Amino acid sequence: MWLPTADGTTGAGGSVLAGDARTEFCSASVDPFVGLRTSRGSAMSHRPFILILIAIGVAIAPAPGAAAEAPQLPAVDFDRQIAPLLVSRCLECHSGLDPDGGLSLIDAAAAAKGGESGPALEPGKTESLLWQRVEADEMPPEHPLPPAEKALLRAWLEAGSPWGHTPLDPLAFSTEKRAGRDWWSLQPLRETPLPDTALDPWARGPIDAWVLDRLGASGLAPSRPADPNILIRRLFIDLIGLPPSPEQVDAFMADPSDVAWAGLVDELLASPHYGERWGRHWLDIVRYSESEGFEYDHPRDRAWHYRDYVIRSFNSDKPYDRFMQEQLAGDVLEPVTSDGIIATSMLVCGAWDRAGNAQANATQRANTREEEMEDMISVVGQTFLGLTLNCARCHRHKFDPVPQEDYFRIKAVFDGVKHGERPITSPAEIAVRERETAARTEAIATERTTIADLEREGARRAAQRSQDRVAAPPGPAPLIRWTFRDGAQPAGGKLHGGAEIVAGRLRLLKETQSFFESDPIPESIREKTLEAWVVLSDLDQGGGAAISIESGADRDFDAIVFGERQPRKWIAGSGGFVRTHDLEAPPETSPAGQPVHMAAVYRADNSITLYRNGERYAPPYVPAAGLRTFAKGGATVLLGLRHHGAGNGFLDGEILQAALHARALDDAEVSATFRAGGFAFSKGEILACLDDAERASHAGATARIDGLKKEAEASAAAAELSYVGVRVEPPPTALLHRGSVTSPGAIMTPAGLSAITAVNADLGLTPEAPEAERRKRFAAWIADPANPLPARVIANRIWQYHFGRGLAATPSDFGLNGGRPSHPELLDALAGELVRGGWRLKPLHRAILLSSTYRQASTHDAKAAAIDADTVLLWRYPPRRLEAEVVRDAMLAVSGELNPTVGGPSFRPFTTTSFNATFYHPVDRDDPEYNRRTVYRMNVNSGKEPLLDAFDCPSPSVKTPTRGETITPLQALALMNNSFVQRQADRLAGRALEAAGGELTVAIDRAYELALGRRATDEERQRAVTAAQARGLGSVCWALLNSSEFLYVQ
Amino acid sequence: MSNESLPASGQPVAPAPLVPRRHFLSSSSGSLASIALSWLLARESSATTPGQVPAGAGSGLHFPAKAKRVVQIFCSGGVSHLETFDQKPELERLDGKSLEGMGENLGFFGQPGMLMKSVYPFARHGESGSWVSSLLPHLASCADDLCFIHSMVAKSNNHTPATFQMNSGFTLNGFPCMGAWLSYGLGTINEDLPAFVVLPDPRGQPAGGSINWTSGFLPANHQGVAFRTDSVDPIADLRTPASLSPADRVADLRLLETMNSDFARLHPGDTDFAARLRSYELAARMQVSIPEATSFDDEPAAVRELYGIDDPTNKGFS
Repeated sequence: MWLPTADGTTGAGGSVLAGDARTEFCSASVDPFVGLRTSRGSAMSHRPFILILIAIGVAIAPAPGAAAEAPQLPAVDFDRQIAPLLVSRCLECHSGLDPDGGLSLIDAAAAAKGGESGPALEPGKTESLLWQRVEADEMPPEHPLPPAEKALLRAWLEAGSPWGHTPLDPLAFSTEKRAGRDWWSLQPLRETPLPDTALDPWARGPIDAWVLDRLGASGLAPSRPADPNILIRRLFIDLIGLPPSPEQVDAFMADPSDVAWAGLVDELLASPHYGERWGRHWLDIVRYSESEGFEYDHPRDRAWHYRDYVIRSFNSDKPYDRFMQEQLAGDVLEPVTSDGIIATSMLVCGAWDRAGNAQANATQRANTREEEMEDMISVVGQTFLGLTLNCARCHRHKFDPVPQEDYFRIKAVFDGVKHGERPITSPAEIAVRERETAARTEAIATERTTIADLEREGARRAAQRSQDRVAAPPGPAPLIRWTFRDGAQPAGGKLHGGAEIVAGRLRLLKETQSFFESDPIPESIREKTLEAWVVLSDLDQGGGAAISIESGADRDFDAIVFGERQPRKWIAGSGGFVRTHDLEAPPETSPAGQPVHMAAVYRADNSITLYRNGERYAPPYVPAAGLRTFAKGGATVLLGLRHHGAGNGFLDGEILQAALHARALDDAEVSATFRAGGFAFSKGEILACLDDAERASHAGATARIDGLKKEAEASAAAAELSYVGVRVEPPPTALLHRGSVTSPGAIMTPAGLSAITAVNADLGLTPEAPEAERRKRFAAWIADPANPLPARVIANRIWQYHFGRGLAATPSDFGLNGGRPSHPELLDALAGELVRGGWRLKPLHRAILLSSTYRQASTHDAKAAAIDADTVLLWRYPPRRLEAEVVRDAMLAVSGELNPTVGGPSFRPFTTTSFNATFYHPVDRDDPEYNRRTVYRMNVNSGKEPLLDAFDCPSPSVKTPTRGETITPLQALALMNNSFVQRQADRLAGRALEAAGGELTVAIDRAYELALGRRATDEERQRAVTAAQARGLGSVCWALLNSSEFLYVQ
Repeated sequence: MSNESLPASGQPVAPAPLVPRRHFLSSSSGSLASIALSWLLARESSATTPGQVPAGAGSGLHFPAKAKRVVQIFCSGGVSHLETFDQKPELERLDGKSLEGMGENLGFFGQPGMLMKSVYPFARHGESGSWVSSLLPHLASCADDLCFIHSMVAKSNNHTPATFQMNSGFTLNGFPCMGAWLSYGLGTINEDLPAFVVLPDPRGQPAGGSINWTSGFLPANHQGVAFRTDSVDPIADLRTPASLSPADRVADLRLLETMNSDFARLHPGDTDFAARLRSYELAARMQVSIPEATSFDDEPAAVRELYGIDDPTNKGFS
């Protein structure tokens, strides 16, 4: 192990350690390049060989290398020499389903068949068409073959063009235009012996050795060590995202030894703030959003569990292979835990098109789903593999060796994952809860029978006593019934728009936007029956509702809607159509003036049944979205309007009466309520007909039901839901030609990526394999230690967040369009050590933080900058601006206002309004809840927060592997005028004055120490005193929070 | 980008030394973006070739830009192309019939009605003979000054993804919109105002709100600055807090400038710190120029009337 151990001593050894480390490194290695690790001498002698390997790795055509050796070889070797040449020079155009000029060169037969110009190769003919074109420098176009390659080709043709292993794989080798399977990032991790610089006193370990090696090669030298106060602030911001306290700075300045440094590093790695800081980086990468984006952008109130999971995982140093597997398949990895279920949020925490998923057009719905899958596959590919797999959705990847089949094989892995919430309770807990629920349900049913019997008896007596004998027996008593009497405001609600009561009926006129809205419903409603007697003025109207129950908080609703999606048909309408199905039912034909009785029953099993005139209107169905709970006091019933804000939601007609039952009526009860003609005695009338004992029995049963319901509610609240997605068993996945849902092709088997040859991409699955098995095996494939990409990608990300730039500069794209690593040997060394060390990230942090490279000063040097302006080679520590969250958190920290509460639901720095969609309006409040760390802010898509925005805080639905670092006038305006900044400046002033006992010069020093980690110079103090005397210490503190020194780590 | 700095051998090396001024512009690759880069380039361009904005360093433009500014008006839920500029003879023929032979005949909300021809008759206008309906008689008189693109097709039948496509070319969230690309490519010729400004309908934002003017994966300074058309403060944090007197604010800014200049002087090669100083200067100028640009107080009555500024239906549009 060359990564330092936990005791904090290993990192401080200088050259001795470097020597040891090299030996360790070498002896620990298991490497296919046997000669490379025996001794320094033999390593040196193999140098040219290494260079060739690297050259291939970075997509320089391998053919020239092969060609250079050609003359010394006795015979032309097709597989070793000609195949790479053809693949890299010809096959980009001359292969595939539609090759250029109709010519494919993937095997002898295809070449002999030729294209539009005739056969490319003919037996025994050296001067073939192929040769003529190559000879004349017409092919390859614009990039004629170098003479050596021409000679090689000629030699092969003269030998009778013998083919080897065919068909040739056009993705086998890298060319200038595309990466092949030989691309550097796809190769197994390589171990390279340390360079001579390992013995340099500056090098504390392999990291420094490689950095120094590259610096030396470019004529550069490292910078001096940074001053302790600079170094400690850098470390704090870097590891926990908060500045050090003045006491912590003082302590380190008093003892800036290697041991003290290592101790600090360990202390911060163990801090709960470490996970908050590094978890935020991860949330950037996986596009963690707390609203759904697209049209509605509704908030996701229960997505934060994943944020806490990520923070917990970083804090506990969860092995990265486990971390990856949990996010792909944690809900099916035994033993299933709550954490495992939550982890899979990663697949669905991006934007989701609710409207597109609910629409009537099946083709467009399928398109919406394909877009959703692209989002999912892109986040999996870019996050874990550093590959833009999503580019292969419509065609072979333009730059990387990813055939379209691979995209659909991976799509097959995730085809059973859909957006939505579900319980995050573990199976063991669920079993207990299910038993309790069943018992409770049965008890409630018994009590209900008691009540129903008593009420039936009461109603019978009431009917006997009644002056007007009714023809039919009364129906079941609802929770609330609305009836209408002329000349009076209706009881239990209000008329709106042009609604009026005429002849005992609620008369509704679309033009006047008329409707009735009930008072808030006094009970929590889950299972329910909506019921209304309705007269339609016009059978061609559409979109109006007879009755609707609507939640005031988010305007979600359940309603009986007429003619909205299909002319003259009824549906059970719902917010975003999530509980709506189009029904196979006859069109409405009731003549004008004739009332129709409509009922919708929502059962606990999530089924919905519509009834017309007492009979089933269509068979029951179970929607994908779960049964909605309408909170006690938070919902109203609308008559004549689908939901607030629905422009086309008004009904033309009349409502005779309507009712809400707080339970699901069965077929017989719906039939009875229809036959009763809307007639039922009120509960009061019924109870009045019972004797005292019966009434007591009724009251007892009612009370017991209330108690049971409360228990059920408490249990449901404990059965917490989270936005982890739901699962279905998907039908076999078909490849889509050009990505079009109307052009399905062959069925694809769930599999890994064919470009990674070190791990078998065949997962041993069939196209019909169970959903869970697909993800489980894919997760194992990703986390296989032989899979080189995940280790390289995460090692690079860790490096990137420490230095502001990865060893490979495009951390989520290790393909052709990505950056090549600046220190390939170092990247592989870090990745290899990570895997060998059990995939733990904290030792990797430690190795980096204890290096001399990290501890350099950030001082600019014109000469060095002239050679390496971007500090790619790390001749200094590159200074960086704080990220948006760190700016805000650091202000809170120095003002003393930071609320360190960890985890739980997000704070909402906005108000919302709804008009179909949710709109967010940022607010700044002086409230401890709002002073939590920014990672706990509810991260919504369309609500922009001016201060964070100005500091390049990305939209949450955008995968952001690297933050922007801009300087704009809007940023200056936010820092100047934002009320949050003003307030923190004033609090910092108050805090400093208090600590100084009111002594201004002492307070100024304190403010400097808090904000910048140092005391003011004499000149600064004098200036600050003048300013503070004129305008208050708040002015000085405002300037400190606006200062470059505060906003940058050096 | 580091792949630009790699020679053909594939061995990573340090970037070649650069001319100092170019170096200044491109070294921080984006970190100076709208301040130093766009400002310097624009200033340079106005000094040398007036009216022409050069391709920005690192902006990826291969040709000098001809456009100086772009105004995009997008009417979410606006009048249909079929009633304005897109004459469809076939629709005249099929008026009152159902749509057949085009796949699943279902709209977003279900069964659509019959096909319907334009309510407004079309006629050819100008020398170009462009078709414009009778709904727009005044615009029709300028037909030769207009360019019509009739070939655009939406991939989605759903408002928001289709709106995203219009603005960014993609139906998904998170891709840079046209304004962001223009800001990225062209920079700005007016350093006192943001390069890319959005004027939303004061009655409400389009579905998806600010997602429609996002910079996506481009640097965040290229995202649209949404002016609040319904507020006296066009952008957030533009105004000095009421609790501060202008004189105090100026004194505060002087103190800050001293601190930041000292810091920049201590770090001479790090141009970010010089850029920060400059950003406060520009911010102060924006505090003056944005209210000026969005105010009509100085417009003569005739102009106000011409634009219909005082007509309440035009609120926020003029």
